[in-house]
Amino acid sequence: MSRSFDPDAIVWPEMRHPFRIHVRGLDTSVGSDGRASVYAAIRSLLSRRSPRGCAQGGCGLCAVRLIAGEVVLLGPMSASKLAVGGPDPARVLACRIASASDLVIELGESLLRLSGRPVGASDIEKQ
Amino acid sequence: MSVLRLGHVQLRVMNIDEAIEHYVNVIGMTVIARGSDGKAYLKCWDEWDAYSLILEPSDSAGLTHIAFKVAADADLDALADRIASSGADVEHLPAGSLHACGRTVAFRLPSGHQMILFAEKDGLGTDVGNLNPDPWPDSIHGIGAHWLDHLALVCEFDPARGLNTVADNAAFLRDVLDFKVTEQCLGGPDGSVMIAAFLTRTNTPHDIACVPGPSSGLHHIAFFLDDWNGILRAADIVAKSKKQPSLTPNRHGMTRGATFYMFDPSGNRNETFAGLGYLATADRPLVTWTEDQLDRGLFFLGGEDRTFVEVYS
Repeated sequence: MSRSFDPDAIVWPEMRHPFRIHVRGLDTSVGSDGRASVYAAIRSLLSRRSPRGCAQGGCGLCAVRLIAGEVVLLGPMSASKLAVGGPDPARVLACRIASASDLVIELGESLLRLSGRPVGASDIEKQ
Repeated sequence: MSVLRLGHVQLRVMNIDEAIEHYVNVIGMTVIARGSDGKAYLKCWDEWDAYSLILEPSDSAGLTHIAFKVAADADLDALADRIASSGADVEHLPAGSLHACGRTVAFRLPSGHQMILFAEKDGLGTDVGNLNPDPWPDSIHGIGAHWLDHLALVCEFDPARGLNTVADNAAFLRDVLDFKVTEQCLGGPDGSVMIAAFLTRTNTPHDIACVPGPSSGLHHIAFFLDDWNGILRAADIVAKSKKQPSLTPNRHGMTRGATFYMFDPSGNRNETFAGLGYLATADRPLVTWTEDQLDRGLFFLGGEDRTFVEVYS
C-alpha cells in the first residue's frame, strides 16, 4: 500500500447542486449552484487547475459553446473575443454566465487544450 | 530628432464606471477630464502631463492606441518622413484631435497597433509640485502608482505562414524610431526566431515589450512602484478586494523587475512593476534569452505557466 498522499486520488461525495453542466467532448458533467459562473464550475475539469484568465469577460480564455440550456448573463463579454474563429452565436465566455437550467456545453479552443485532452475534430466527433 | 518617452495609452473598456473605479481606487489614479463621448482621462500622482490613460467605452476590451511624446514639434515632421519612407501610412492630425494635445502623427506598427506621436500635451504638474517637493502627496490612494511605466503588445505570430510581427515591430522601432533593443528571446528549430523583444527610448529596460500571439492585442500596461514593499502592498490591496484574479508577486528574469499582475474589470491586464531593473544606457550589450529558459525569463521565481502569455485582451 502506498503511503504517499495523492490529493487527486480523493473521491469526494458528489455535491448536490441544482443544475448539472454536461461538457460534451470530455463526456463528463459538473454541478453548478446557479450563482457562481459556469467557468468557476468547470475549472475542476482542467488539467491545470488555475489558469489565470481574466475572469472578467475580456481575454476569451474561457470561451465555450452553449449547446443547450438557459443562462444568466453576469456581465459584458468582449465582442472581439466572441468573434474569434468567425461568427458563432453559440460562443459565450463562461466567466460571464451562470446556469439557469441544466446545460450542455463544448469547451472552446483554449479550455480544450487546458483540459489535457487532444485537440482535434476527431476528439469531438466521437461523442 | 527623437522619441522621448511613453505618453499615454487608450484602452477599451466594457463598463466605464467600473473601469474608473478600478483605475482610481485600486491603481491610485485621478480622473482629470471626461469627454462628451464618454471617454475618461486619468493621471498618476507623479506624472506632470495632463493624463497617461484614456478609457474608451466599447463592446470589447483591448488597446486603441499608444502615444509617445517626441522632444520637439519639428521632430514630428522628421519622424513622419522616416515612417513614410519605411512604407507605413502616416496621418497628420491637428491640435486638439487628441484631448489636451498639440498636433499628432499617427501610423500603425507592423503588428497593426496604432501608434501616435505628439510633442505637446497640457501640463498639470505632479501632486507634490516642483518646489521643495515632498516625496509623496497626502492625496495618495489605492496602490498609489507613480506613473505609467511601459506596455506589452501581443503581436501576430505564425512562423508557419512566415508571419512574425514581434520581429517586424522590433526592427521598425529600432531602425525607424531609434529604440534600443535591450533584451530578446530567440526560439524556433534553430534558435533564430525572435519570439519576444524589449525596447526602450528612455534609460529603463523597456518602454515597449512585444510578445507573440495568434492575433494582435494588448498583453498589459504597467505602472511604476518603488520597491518590493510597494508590490506586496499592491497585491494586498487587490487580494483584499476579493474582486479579481491576480498572479502572485514575482520577479521577472527579463528586465529584472519586481512584478505583480492583476486585471481591470474588462479583462485588460495591469502590472505593477518595481525597481529600475538596470540602467539601459545606449552602450549596454543586448541580452538574449533562449526559448528553453523562457519560463525563468518570464517569472524567475517560478509558479506560473505559459497561460500567462496566451491570456490577453
